[in-house]
Amino acid sequence: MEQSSEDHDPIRKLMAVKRHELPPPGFFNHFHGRVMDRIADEFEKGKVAWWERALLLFDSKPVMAGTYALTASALFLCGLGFSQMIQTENAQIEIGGRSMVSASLMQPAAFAAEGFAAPVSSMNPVGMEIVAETSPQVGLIPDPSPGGPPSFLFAPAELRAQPVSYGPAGR
Amino acid sequence: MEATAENKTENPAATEAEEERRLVKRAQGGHLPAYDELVTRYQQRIYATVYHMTSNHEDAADIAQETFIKAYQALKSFKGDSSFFTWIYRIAVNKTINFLKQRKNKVHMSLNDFDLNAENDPELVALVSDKTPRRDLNLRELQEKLNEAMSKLSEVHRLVVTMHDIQGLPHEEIGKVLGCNTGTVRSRLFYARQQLQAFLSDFIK
Repeated sequence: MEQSSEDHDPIRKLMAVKRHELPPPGFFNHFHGRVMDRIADEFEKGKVAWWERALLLFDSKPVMAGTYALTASALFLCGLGFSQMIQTENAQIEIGGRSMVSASLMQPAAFAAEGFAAPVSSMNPVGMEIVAETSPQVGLIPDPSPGGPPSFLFAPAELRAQPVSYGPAGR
Repeated sequence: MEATAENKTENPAATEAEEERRLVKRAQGGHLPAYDELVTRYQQRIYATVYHMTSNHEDAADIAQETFIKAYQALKSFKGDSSFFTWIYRIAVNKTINFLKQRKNKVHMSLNDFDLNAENDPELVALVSDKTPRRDLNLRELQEKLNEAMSKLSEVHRLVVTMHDIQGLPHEEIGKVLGCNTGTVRSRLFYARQQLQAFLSDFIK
């Protein structure tokens, strides 16, 4: 490297010529005055906002700016990953055993298909507030084939009106 | 008291550093004349660095001015881990590199004149008369060739040439400003000179 440095001597000398390039005469007599005038103008009026100060800080410390940017990106990605993880867990819970929300939204037919009695709320007539008694009789139709689907689903003609124990609220 | 005075005369660099620290402290407290003193101290070096990077007087004047204003605005964040000069130099370098990236390849030269000493510089006279195939080459043409060659270098290579070969900063100081070690500075300098040698081969045969 030292040998190469000697080889570069003429280049160094040529570059040193540039030291003689000078701005117009008197330039530096006024330069600092202009700087101070601008500083006085901008700061006496209190124009510097907090975000401008932050930018200035980053301007003088680019490493800090990079660190902030990386941290912000990492936090964002962590948040994104975390939210996706939560969504996946919820989906698994719903697949394994129906969640309360989805169960409440099931149609009566679906309950019947699974061999359960339909919930009272699903049989609520529109506009009528129904109050259930303590011994609801819904779903008490005898099922001739235990374990299989309720027979009334396959023999609609044999359905008979059953006395139900519901009444409008307040009665 | 006598010993202190002796120390001061013995180590002017330390005295200067101490004086700089005092000025910075006062400027951080909002004392504008102290900051004016700091600007006066470093304006020539900051301007020259930007000028040799941009080859344009107007751009250099604007960027140097912006540098001092930004430095004042960020002065409270200056903790004194490095010298004030290194710190403000870093701001100037970052601003200049950002400017050059925005300007891309649209180089518009606005060159300063040489000072009167240039024509009498024996090294320069020897270089121009002995090494140049065109003996009638004048200073202005040489200046344009040098600036053209500089503008062909990448920003980081131009920067090390400016700081070392033109401004005479030591490798360690350049490393502090650029945030790299001296080995990196040396290798960049080597590569930059190689390239300049190729661009300016007519003048150094």
